[in-house]
Amino acid sequence: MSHIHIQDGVLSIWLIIIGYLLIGLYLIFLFFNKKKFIANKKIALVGVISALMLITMTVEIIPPAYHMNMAVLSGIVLGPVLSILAIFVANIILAFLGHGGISVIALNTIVVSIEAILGFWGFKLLNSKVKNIFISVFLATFLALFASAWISAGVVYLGTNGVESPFHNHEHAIETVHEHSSVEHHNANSVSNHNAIDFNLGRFLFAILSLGIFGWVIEAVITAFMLKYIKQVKPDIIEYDISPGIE
Amino acid sequence: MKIIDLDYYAIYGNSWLHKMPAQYKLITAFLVLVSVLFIYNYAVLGFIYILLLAIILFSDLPKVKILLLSLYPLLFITLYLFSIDNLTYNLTLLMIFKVLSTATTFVLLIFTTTYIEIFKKLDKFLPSFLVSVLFLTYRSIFILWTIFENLQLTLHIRGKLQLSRPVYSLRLLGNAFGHLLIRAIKVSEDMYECMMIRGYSGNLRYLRK
Repeated sequence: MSHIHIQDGVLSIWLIIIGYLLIGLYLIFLFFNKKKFIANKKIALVGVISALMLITMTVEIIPPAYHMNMAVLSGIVLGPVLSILAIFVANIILAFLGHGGISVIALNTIVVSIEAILGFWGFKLLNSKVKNIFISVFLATFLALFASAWISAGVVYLGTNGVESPFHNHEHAIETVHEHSSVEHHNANSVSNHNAIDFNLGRFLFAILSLGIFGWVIEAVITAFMLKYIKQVKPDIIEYDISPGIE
Repeated sequence: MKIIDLDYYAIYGNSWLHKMPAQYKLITAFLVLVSVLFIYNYAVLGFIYILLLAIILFSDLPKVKILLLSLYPLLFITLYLFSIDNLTYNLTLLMIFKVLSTATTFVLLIFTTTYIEIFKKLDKFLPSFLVSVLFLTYRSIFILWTIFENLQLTLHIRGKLQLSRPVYSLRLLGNAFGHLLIRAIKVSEDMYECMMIRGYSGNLRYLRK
């Protein structure tokens, strides 16, 4: 799992709001730097890279759970600033397909964008140290995917840390209607609920890491072959002196 | 499921849902989303889901395709529920209905409304450059999909992917996607030139009905 399509109704509202605030700030930044980032030929490239991400997502490496997303590639081609826009757009379109929730588009974007940014910087750093492009892309992609899985798990943990609380409130509402007199019984119940229902981060991490590791290796190898091919055929795409999108 | 197939159903479908104005469908979808976010009663959410299933059943839509696509989020929720200690029956139902209600609503929306219509409505709330990128992405999907299909055919004819030769197959896939990226960049350059000829200055202009 390079990234998890977190669904609606799972995460807390406060986290969803923070996600949208961060994306809102990013859009404001883009709006005020429109000439630098948007009103040039990169706008078309952002659209095309978003479309490319959506198309590669249809290629399932391990059906039906794991597909590629090319976030690292978008980071390398577009640079950190514009890759976020491409990922945001791809997530909006995907959310309408039930692939990740509408309310969590911003959070899903942030998780995948971190993957793209880490991939971009990882590639820049490794490419200057390691002469073999295959190795530098493989390592940059694998590490970015690995990191994004941890960030995904962290987001789910943060958003569901109080998984019992909304559920408990609902039980409380039912009890108020049906069991007015049993306050003591309710208190005893609420304590047991707090102890009983809890999100187990360790188990969640175990699940996504064990499911994801095979897919990450494959995605990293494909991305590495891809960039090796691009270096041979059209090297100017990746051999920029100044980082695209951050000049 | 391919976005191109969905687009076909959205454009050429003739059900009563297709005839309904896009803004009403978007408002309904938004109301379902708000319900999912704020309601913690699995019975209410279950009722909403059954209502959505009834809509699918009594409309002239590809029922199996919609259901299959809307069930995809169950993968995530299974992983999530697996990670909860002492999982209760109520919480399981609550989470499943939350996820299925929104997924079914939006899949239903996209099967009956084109992305173009949705983007046009979103234009009132989102920054214009974002809507421009949405339009460009939508347009690019169709161009790149044609290139991708040709590539798949080429791969099939000249060197099929083989499980017995994993490195060869991965290299083939990598080269194919690399080629697709190069073509994609060329497409973006052509597209930008067209936009400039048509007077692009930071905003895409289109006719409103």
